[in-house]
Amino acid sequence: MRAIAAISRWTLACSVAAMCGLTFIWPFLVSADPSHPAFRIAAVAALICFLSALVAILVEKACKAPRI
Amino acid sequence: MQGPTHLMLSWYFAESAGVRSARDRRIVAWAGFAPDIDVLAYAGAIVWYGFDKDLAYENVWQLVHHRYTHGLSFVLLTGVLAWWLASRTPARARVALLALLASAIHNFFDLVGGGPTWPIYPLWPLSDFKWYATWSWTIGAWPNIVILFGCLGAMLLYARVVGRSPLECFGDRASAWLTGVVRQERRSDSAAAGRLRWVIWVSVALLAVAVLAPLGFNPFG
Repeated sequence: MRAIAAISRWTLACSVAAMCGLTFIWPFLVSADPSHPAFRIAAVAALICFLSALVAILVEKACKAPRI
Repeated sequence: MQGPTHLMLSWYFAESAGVRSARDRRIVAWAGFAPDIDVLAYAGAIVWYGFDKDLAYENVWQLVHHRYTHGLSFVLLTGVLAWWLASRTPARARVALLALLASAIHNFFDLVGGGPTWPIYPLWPLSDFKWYATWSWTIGAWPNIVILFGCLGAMLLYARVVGRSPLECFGDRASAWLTGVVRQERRSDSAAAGRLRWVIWVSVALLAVAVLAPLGFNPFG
């Protein structure tokens, strides 16, 4: 469980960094082509990683919460 | 993505980052919503053009939306404002950084889920360079709807299990009310509780209108 939590936190941090990079760095350093296939793959992957990590961390917090 | 989705995702982001104070979670959540503050221009334009929403859209909304508040300058401004508003604790700088990141990823969410006709302007006011994705799904597309309803479902579950929820953005009492409802707790029916119930139901109705109106939902036509 602890390993999953650590991986989720790492994934969350990486996905946030990736999303910022894709928004503010990619068009200037990689390609300003809005239909670039690599951009599409990277953007969807970053979004899925972000949402998955968010779910994993919140589930972990919910498991630790005192039972009602 | 829809405004409520931005707000909820930013709150979950703050919660998953371990922000301890409710006030600081609120700051991060509203920072994630903040770039959509330009919706006020559309509201003002509708009044200005005598409630003609087509004129308001063509003359103001189409030109204004995403231009001034969806870029690095506004992200930095959000970070500074968050630092100023955050609790005076050693975690203040961290809250400001999380708020800044929440505002930045709002831009990414709009890039992916705002539609190809709504570019963002990453370098405004230095440059009018537009950044968008040709394949970006529109506001009413199924991925946006799935994420919105996922966030709403998670809000109910999280409130039941943990005892707090993104409704915390509207105050601790709003979150406590939702927790009480989903946990089926009995509460005293005071006048204050009655007023709060009205405020919450009106907020929910406005939220529903805010989500459905851009999708072109018209129950009468």
